[in-house]
Amino acid sequence: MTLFTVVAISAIGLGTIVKKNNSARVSPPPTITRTTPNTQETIRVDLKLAPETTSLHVGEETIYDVTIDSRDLGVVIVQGSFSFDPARLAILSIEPGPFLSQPDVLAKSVDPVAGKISYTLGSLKYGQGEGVVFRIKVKALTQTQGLVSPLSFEREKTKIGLKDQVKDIGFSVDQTVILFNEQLMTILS
Amino acid sequence: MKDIVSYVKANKARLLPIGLLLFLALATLFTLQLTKKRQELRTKATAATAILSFTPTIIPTSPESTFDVSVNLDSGGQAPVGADILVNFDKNQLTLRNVTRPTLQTNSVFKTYAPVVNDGSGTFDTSRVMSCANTGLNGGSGTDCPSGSGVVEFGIIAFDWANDVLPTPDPANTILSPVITFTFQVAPTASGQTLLTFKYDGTGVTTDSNVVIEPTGTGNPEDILAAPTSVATITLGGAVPTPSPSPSTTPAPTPSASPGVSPSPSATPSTSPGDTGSLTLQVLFEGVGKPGIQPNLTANIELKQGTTIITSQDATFAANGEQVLIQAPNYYLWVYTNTASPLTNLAVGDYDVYVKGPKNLRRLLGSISITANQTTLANFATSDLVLLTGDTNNANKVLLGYTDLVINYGCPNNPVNIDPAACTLVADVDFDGQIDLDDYTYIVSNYNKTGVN
Repeated sequence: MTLFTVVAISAIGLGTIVKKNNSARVSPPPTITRTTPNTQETIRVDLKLAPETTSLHVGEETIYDVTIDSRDLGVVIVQGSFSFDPARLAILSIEPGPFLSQPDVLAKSVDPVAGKISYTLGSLKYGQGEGVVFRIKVKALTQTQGLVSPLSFEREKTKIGLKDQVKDIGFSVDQTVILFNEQLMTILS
Repeated sequence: MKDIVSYVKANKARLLPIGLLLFLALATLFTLQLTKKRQELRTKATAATAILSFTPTIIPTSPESTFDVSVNLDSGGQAPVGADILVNFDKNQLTLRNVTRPTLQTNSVFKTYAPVVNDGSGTFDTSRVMSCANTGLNGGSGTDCPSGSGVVEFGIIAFDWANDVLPTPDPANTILSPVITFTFQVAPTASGQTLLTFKYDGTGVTTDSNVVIEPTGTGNPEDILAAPTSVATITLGGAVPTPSPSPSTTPAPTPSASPGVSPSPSATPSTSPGDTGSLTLQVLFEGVGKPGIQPNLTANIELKQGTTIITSQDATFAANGEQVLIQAPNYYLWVYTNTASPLTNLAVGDYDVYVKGPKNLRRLLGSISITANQTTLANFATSDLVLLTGDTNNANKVLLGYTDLVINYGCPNNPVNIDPAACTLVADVDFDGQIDLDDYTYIVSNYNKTGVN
């Protein structure tokens, strides 16, 4: 990046560089229509389990952060749903992270037989950008043969609610995308 | 954009040698290739696809109140590297109180907002923007305010000040909603109506709004801004414009907030004392729109003339099968109408229409004219007149319902804060029979909002 580049771009308003073309003007999109819109936003939020790879010994405990990156979107609620292998992991606790300020716990259940976790946090004070939504404390139970994935998102059931943008509902035409990662683990004897 | 002088001053020790060298080199190249470049520009002219718009476009206010209005940019698939945005307003009616830019993210197209403060940090100088807009002066001088008062002027640049790089323009990320949000305050003596418009002075003018790309291979910025047509209409008396009272039954001019108001049929009637007409409405209830879930809803309709309540009635509304796209975000709401239970025996005249839905905040939707022996169909099913939801305890305010929401979240099947047998569904604002993430999102998004009295 050079100074001149900055000058060239910034000088637009100074009347020295910009050139208007004479092509046909484009009408603005209507604010109301009953047809499919000509624009579709892609709303992207990243949810990850961190760290992505872990090596534990049997009996050892660790904490997984469920991290979020919402960019400039305000997140008011996160509905987390996870599956885990109860033969390999015990869930010791699940607690709010700092991403949502003063959150209300709206749903919380751990099924150690089926290997399911459901945890939902909401807050009047929306979170934005990057942060830790939940913290899941686990204990390694049995040795693995190489890398396994004993804790993962249930992608169909994990949802978010965005302030002023009720997207995650059937009649939304915007494309809401939550990108998940996969957590890998080795449990040593 | 005029901040470049400030920028250079603040960084001249670091930048001057580089700038001088580059200037000399590029000036030579520019001179040698001037004729060639002009020819290229004529042949490579790009389409004016960029659109600037306001959200919302209809803004009812009252004297001394404040309101927010956002500016949006859709560059139409082209990847902009910068823009000048100039917004005209009536400084006698409005004062610019705040300027809010979106939080900078890694994928933000425009990472620098100008002018910047004169400390080398690249911080958006919102004080200067407001001072220039309101007074035409900054620090007692008009030098920084070339457009004078009554114009909000700022620039947005892709240049990443913090990292000192110009990111590659991203053609897949060209809709910015919002680019910025202004907070205006209405003057105590304001009345009538005022407009916000984009300053656009036509082709070839460079002191107006511009949206700029750098076409590949030319190195020359080009303006792709289409003539803006978006206008924000601010009514300053707390209500949308009300047609002047008239003894005639001639349909009054259609107010801007209720473009669909029309008597039906259209034949001009004659009027006699005691003549009456009927009224049906089309409205949008926020929260009601999930596929297969369009329950009939009971809403209160109140007609007023000035401060006098003429009638206040409950009516049953049903979805009529149409949908309206709300932009942005893009989602559909069902159009609800009380066609099956119209308001009848209404005296001929002009009325302000207020509606309160079962879990929606009360709102002034606009003004209508009742015509003798006819049913007036008032179409308020527009994206800027949505009846906001979240009033779960009928207080006309989204506040106390939050407690109900948290306690009953997950009801009726999986609540964690209440015995399922004690569940109530008052916070089920989307009427799907459960209190879930969607209800929570609606209520929190509207939290602390109040309907009109």
